[in-house]
Order: sequence, then structure tokens, then C-alpha cells
Amino acid sequence: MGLLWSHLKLHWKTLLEYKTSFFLQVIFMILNNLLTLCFWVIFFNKFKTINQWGLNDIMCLHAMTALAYSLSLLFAGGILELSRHIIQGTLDSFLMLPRNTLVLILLSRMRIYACGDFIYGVSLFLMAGITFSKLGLFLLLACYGAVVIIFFQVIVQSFSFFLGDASYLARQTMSSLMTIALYPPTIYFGFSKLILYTVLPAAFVAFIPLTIFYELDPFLFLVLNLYVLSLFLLSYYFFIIGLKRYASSNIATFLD
Amino acid sequence: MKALLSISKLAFREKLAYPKAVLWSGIFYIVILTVFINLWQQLYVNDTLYDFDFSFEEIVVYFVVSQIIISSLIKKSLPISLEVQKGDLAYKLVKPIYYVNYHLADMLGQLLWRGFFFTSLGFFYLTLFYDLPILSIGQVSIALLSILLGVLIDFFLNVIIGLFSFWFGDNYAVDWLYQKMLILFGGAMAPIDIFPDWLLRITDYLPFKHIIYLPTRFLLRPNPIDVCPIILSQCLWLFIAMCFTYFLFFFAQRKLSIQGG
Repeated sequence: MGLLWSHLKLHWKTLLEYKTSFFLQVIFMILNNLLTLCFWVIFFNKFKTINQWGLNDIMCLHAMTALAYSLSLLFAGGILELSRHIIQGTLDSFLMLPRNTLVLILLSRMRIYACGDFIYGVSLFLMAGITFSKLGLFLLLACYGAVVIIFFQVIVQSFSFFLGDASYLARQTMSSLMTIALYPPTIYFGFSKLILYTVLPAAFVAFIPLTIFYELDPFLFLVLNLYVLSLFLLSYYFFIIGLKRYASSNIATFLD
Repeated sequence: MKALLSISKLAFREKLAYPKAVLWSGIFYIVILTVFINLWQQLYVNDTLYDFDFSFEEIVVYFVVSQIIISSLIKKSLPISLEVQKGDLAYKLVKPIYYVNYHLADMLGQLLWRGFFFTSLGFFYLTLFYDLPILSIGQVSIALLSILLGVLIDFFLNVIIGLFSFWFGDNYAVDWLYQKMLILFGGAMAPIDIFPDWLLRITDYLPFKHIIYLPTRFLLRPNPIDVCPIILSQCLWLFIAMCFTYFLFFFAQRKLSIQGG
């Protein structure tokens, strides 16, 4: 916890060093998200509902997705760099330190624009008409979504240990995961539904946490916990196996 | 002209030599297509489209084509912005080719490869699950011309955003907003026919629908009466975007300061 706190403090200070850039990115990210919401307002203005999902449900789904995404990139923004470190052989800086390598990589970055997503997520939650007192539970469940995103990315980015440059794969799977998570899960059937729960686990990012939030289903909560635990073990194991194949470029710098 | 052709060829060969980026982006293309088609399928199944102009087969073709266009577009704003920020622009300025034209030639070379890949993927997806629309060579030629004009409009708008870096430094945020506006008002998320009237009127005064919606709509329902208005309005937007780009670049060059290296 101390390590996490000191990293967060450091990143926050760095971000505030460039105040204009920071505020611009946050504001534009919120505007960016508002445009997506605009689409759904237009859509439901025309079609009213889709498989029992209305605008309010979509707002909650987007709030959960935005919060999960922002939390993953605020606390573990380094995940997007893992593939690059593997390919360029610049993991040495992390390997030399007396802490867990994967944790250090995850904590090595904080994404500014994620602050915009976070503000957007909280605002949307309140706009959806849910009482403020439930925000704590909503945030807790969003943390599960964030953890799913992080571990899923660890697996995908670690492919670079085996396949060479997997950064493109990682970028595309991240975009795909977040896109699927933003749409009502009731539109998926058959094969696409299978994908939603397995290869691209978008259902575990937003839909399942949201269902738990509404129904307070202890069984579903247990399933989510088991899923997160399995994903963690799988991703960590995959990373450790991959790390044995890592070849250094003899570049040890903390300025990277 | 010969030099520009060489740059295009080089860009095409380079992309061909490192095809991973484009090949992997095929995943996103298929995912987004599946999401959109699933969404609209539910609307048709539930019979909520009582006053909507498109049939389900048409909407599938619409998304396949619009996603081909948007996936093939080359985002030049970020490379230009980086060149401005890092000062790499200086290397391009000393070349005997106008800077904007250099990027135009490079974009066209890249576009050829991306366009070919996504068109093949789109047609494969269509033939696998749905019927291909029947079009004459003339209709396809006009649609291709319209798509090319749309791509050029997008290119010049990208250059404008990239050149903003001379004044504002980092332009990532503006670029996100542009891309999102293109997706929404360009009709990549849904045909703009679902927009309310007041919003449709606003889109008439924006360049976005000329990049995606109009070429796709023409390919879907090729009507000879539409040809002239579509092509003319695209040419007008292209002219405006071009003039603004060259005008902006003229002033941007004056702000350039290079400190060796």
C-alpha cells in the first residue's frame, strides 16, 4: 500500500507540473465521452428501448465502464507500456528493484485522460438518478472491472514475450473490450455472447458488476470474485513464464 | 509529381513490409461490425423501426462500407504534431517537396494498403453472412470517387489539427474530439437519418458527413440525381479544407524555431 501511495503521489505531482495540458486533456476527454452519450440520447429518442434497455440503463453501464477503465489507468497506467518494454528490452529498470516486477510496471505510469473518464463516470452515475450513498458500492464494483481490464491486458501484452511485438494486438483488444462493454449485453446472442464472457471478457468489466449492484446477488458476487482470482493467477503465471524468455537490451534507465 | 509518386510507393511498401498493425486492426473491425449489426438486428427483430428508411440487409452493407472507410483513414494529425514538437519537421522542410504534399503522398500510399485490406475483409464478411449488393461499374466508380474525396477532406482536417501544435503544443485532446465527432456526425455509429431534424440541419454545415455518410449512402442507393450534389458539396469542403491548410501552414512556418541538432 505504501508503494502504491508513493507512486500515486509522485505521478500526481508530475501531472500537475503541466497544468494546462492536464486540464485540457481532462476536459476534452469528458467532451469526448459526452459525444458518445449524445449518440445514445439520439438513439433512444428515436427507438425508445432495445431489449428492455433504456437510456438510464445505458448511462449506468457507461458509468461503470468509464469508472473501471479510469481506475485501471489511474492506478496501473503502466500496463499499456508492458509490450513496449518487452520488445525494447527495457524491463531491466524494474527487474533491478527489490519489489515485484509486475507491480512496479503497472504502477510506473498514470494516464492523465483517465481523470476525465473518472469525473464522467461519477457524473453519469449521479445523472442516472441513483442516490449518492450508493456511490461507494458502485466504486467498489467498478474496481473489479478495473482489475479485470488490468489482468486481461497483462495476458495480452505478455504475448510479446512469445510472438514478438504484440502492442498492436494489445491496442486492438483493449479497444474491442471497451467497445463491447459499452453496449447493452442483451443484444448479444450465440457466438458473440460466448466471446463476451471468454475471449474478450467485457461482461466482467461492466455488466456483471452492474447486475450485482442492482440485484445484490451474493452468488454472482462469488462468481465475480472467483473469475478475478482465476484471471489474476493466469495473468501472473503467463507473465512469469514469459519473463524467463526476456532478453535485455542492456538499457537500465529510470528516465524512460 | 515523380517524387510524390515515389513517396507513395515507399509508404505502401513500408506498410506491406510491416503488416502487423493493419492485420491486428482487423480484429477491431470485425468486433465493431458484429456489435453494430447485433444492435440493429435487435431493432429489426423487435419491429421498432416503423419509420426507418433502411432494410436490415441495407443496414449491414452500410456498416460494412462505413467501417471500411473509417478504418482505412490515415490519422496524420499525431505524426505531424510530433514532428512539430520534436523539431523533426526541419528534415522534411529541407526536402524539395512541399511539406503538406509530402504527407499527402505518404497518406495515399498507406491508404492503398489499408483500403485494400479492409475492403477485402469487409467483402469476405459480407459474402460469409449476407448477400453482396449488385452495382454497375459506373456506380462503383462514382462511389470510389466520392470515397476518395472524403478521404482527402479528412486528410486536410487532420493536417490542420496537426499544425495547431505550433500554437498549442500537445494536440492529443483535440484529435480525440475530432475522431469522435467524425464517428458520430459522420455516420459511422449509425446512419445520420436517425438524427432529429434540428441536428440534421447542423450536420449539413459540418464536413463530417461528406467523409463517411454520403459516399456510403450513395453506394447503398445509387441514384443518378444524387451524383452532382454529393460530388460538388465534397469538392467545396475539400477546397475549404485545402485553403485553410495552406493558409495555416504559411503562418506556422513563421513560428518555426530550430535550434540545431
